[in-house]
Parts: sequence; structure tokens; C-alpha cells
Amino acid sequence: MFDDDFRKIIIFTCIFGLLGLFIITYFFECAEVIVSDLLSGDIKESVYVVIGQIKSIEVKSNTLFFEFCDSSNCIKAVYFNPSTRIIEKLKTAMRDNLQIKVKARFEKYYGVSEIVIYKIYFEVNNLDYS
Amino acid sequence: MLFFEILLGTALGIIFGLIPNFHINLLAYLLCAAGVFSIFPDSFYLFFSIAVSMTITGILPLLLFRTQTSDTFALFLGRASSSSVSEIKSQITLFLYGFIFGGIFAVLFLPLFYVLFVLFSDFYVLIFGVLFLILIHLIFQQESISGKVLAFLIILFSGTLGVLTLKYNFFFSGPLLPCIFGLFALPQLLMLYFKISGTDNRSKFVQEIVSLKMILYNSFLGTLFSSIIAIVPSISPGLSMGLSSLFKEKDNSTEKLILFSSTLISVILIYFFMAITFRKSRIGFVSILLEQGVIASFSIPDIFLLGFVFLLVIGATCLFLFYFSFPIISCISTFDHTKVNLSVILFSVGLIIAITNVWSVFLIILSCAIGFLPIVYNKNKLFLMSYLIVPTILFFI
Repeated sequence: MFDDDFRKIIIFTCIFGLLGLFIITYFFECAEVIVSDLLSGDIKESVYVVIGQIKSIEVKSNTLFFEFCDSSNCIKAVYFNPSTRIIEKLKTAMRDNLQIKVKARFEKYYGVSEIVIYKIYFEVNNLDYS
Repeated sequence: MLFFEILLGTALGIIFGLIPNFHINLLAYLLCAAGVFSIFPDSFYLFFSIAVSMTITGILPLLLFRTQTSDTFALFLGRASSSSVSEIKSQITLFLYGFIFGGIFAVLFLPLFYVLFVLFSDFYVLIFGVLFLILIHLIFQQESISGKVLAFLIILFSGTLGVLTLKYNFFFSGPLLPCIFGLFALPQLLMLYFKISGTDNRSKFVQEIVSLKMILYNSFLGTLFSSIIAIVPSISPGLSMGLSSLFKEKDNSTEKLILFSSTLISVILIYFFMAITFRKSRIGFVSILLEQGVIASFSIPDIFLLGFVFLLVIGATCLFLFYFSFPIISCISTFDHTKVNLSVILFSVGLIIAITNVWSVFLIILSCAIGFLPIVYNKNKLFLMSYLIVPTILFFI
């Protein structure tokens, strides 16, 4: 049987644990890199802000796949559950060859380097894509 | 060579299955860290046999120590100390019936799994709808208002943990492993270690008359409901078992054991079949096999061979358990349960930290606290599946 103190400890741990996790996730500041840095092999799997340009967009199974490139290298990028507005903005950015900034997790998927995008910043170089 | 792979895999699976609370996902991480997949890159049937036989022999530590995983948490077997040897013998026999007939039905249902996946896997509204209705059903099956509020809070807490660790994971390496362990296994292990009885008021196991018709019906139902896993992501065998139980009129423990064992074994075949035909993984073990290139492309005759090997391994393992489970039980029963539980906790936590990193301790503590909620408030542990369901729903919104 469980006494009230034990229940209080459990609820306290749940609320403050989740709150703490939410706060550190929300205020997390990550390093800014370019695509070539990710592919250099010196960078560990983590979350980064990556700057680059888009090539070859494809939407499949509610997921957006595209090539994210700098002047010399490209990396596979994945964005889950994209809205139509985001897809249109990205297509505009690709068509005009404009630079964008993304917050993404760099990881290896089946041995291939890729970035899983959490957030896309369209305001790089103060350009308005809307 | 194929026969040797199957034989070795079955033998290894039997040994690994006897380790309490040792999930095949943990085994996959260990094999990966040891570089085994590089040594045996073409030995698909070795790993397939391990997974099948490990699932079957995993019932022995489950019955003896009540150490449950995310796959078996929906089972209620009473307290370990309250089970007599004859009761455990009866339970093992029922499990074996479920494994054998569930395995046969699973092989026969392979075309159905294929059709279901092709038809519905991209039908997002259906997937979203099914998952959402499951959550709504779990809340509204509570009779009182306070029960509904508590159910909602458990879903909210476990769902938030899922979103913060699976959808927006900025810090943790492999968060699924510590969270699943903390949510489903650790609270149970701690209760067993500290000999806390809990407030579970479900009925104790009662042996009832077993007929072939009842065995066939429950094995069929278990396999049929396990097909949900083929269509809807984030549904675990535990939840699938829970869903099939909802369609049972009475809480019959004999039928449940057959139902659950047929579900457990069917999902193993579904996991591998999905990986072979669609390159989709629904479990870490298969995901690692895909990642390591162990699962190659299969032709139609290979699928027949897969079904044959599946039944062969089930037959061999069930035969082994039928003849040797009692000497094994007699041997294991001499172990001190408290020490075994403590060893399992330390081994699992150590292994998770070794595979991921030390920050996983935070996730283990947090998920364990959330995992205790249904226990201390006497609610269904199925609520904890929101950890996987809520991020999946958000994916489809």
C-alpha cells in the first residue's frame, strides 16, 4: 500500500521533472554550423543550427525530404509532418536559391548522415519569403 | 548452414529469454556494441530464431519473478509468492498452446498483414483516429469523475514525456530505452524489491476447463488483434493485448493467457515481415537489424521459408519448455527473489547508461515516477502507452 507522502513525492517528481525538461528544451541554445562542418566527421550527433540552401524537395508519407547544401557539400534533410505553407515557402526558397537556417538534429540513419529538422528560420539575411 | 543458424539462434534465445526483464531491444544494442552484426552479416535466421525463442522462454522469468516489460505489462498474474508450482505449470501449458496456435495463425495471416499495411499505412486520418479514440476510450472507461481526471493526468504526463524526448529530443542519446524501462519495468521491479503489494484488485489466476475450441478461438483473436501493429505505429503488443481484452465479455484468466501468448508471438512475425517487405521497423531489435544490413530483400519463396523457420523455432522452443521448464523452475526457484530483483535493476540501469549516457538516469527517474502513477492510484497501465501514442498523434496532425 502507498502512503500520502509517497504519492506526493511521485507527483512532485513528475511535475517538476517534466517542467524542468520543458524549460531546458525551450531555452536550449545550439551551435551554428554549415553543412560541410557536419560532414567533416569532427562533429558529434546532436542538435545544431545549420545554414544552407535547398535542393530537390520531395514529400512522401507525410514527411518532407530535401537536400540541404552549402557551396561544396549536401546532406539529406528530413522534416516530419510539414504544413502546406512550409512546403510552399521552401519551394520558393529553392526556386530563388535563397539561404535558410534550420534547427535540426544531426544523426546517422542506416549509416547515412542526415539532419532531422525541428524548426525552419526563413528570416536569414532579412529576406521575407511570405 | 541454415539449420545451424536456426539451432544456434534457438539455443541462444532460450538462454537469453531466461534472464529476467531482458528485452530483445536491449539484446540488440548489446550485440551491436559487441560488433556481432559485423561478424555475422548474412545470418538473418540466427537473429530471427533468437527473437522468436527468446520471446517464448521469456515467460519463465515473467511467471517466476513477475518482471514485466513493455510487451507484457498488460498481463496480470498475481503475486509471485502466491503462485504454486502446479499453478505455474498450468500457466506455462496455456502459454505454450497460445504460442503454437498463435504462430500457426500468424503464418496463415501473412497475406492479411500485407494487405492491411498496403491499404491503410498511408491513410493518416485512420491512424490518427484510431490512436485518438484509444486515448478517449481509456479516459472514458473510468466510471468516476476523479478516475477520468486521474486517467487524463497520467496520459498528459506520459504523453508530455514522449513529446519532449521523442519529438523534441535535444539532449538525450536513445531516450526510448530509459523511458520504456522507467515507465513499464522499473516501478514493478521496485515494488517487488521492497515487497510492496500495491492496490491491484484484479482477480487472481484461476485455472478453468480448457477446450480446443477455446484455444483456437483465443489464439485466432490474439493474432487478429496483433495485426493492428502492422497498420498503426506506436501500438505495442501490450496495448494490442489490452485492446483484444476489451472485446472479451468476462475476465477469464485462462483465455487471457492464450490470447496474450498468441499476440506476443504473432507480433514477432509481423515485425520481421514488415521489415522484409516494407523496410519498416516497429521495434528496436528489427530497426538495428535493418540498420546493420542484416535484413536483405526477400522473394516470395523466402517468405515461405520465413514462415517455416518461424514455426520450426516455435515448435523446438515449446518442446524444450514442455520437457525442461520444470527442472529450470526448480533451479530458479531456489534463487532469492529479492536479490534477483536487485540484480535485474542494477544490470538494466547499468546497461542503459552504458548504451546511452549518464543523462539517461534523469529520464529513468522521471519515467519511473510517471510509471508509478497508475500503480499508486490503481489505474490501468495502458495509460502509459501515451508515451508513444501522443507523439505519433502529433506527427499526423
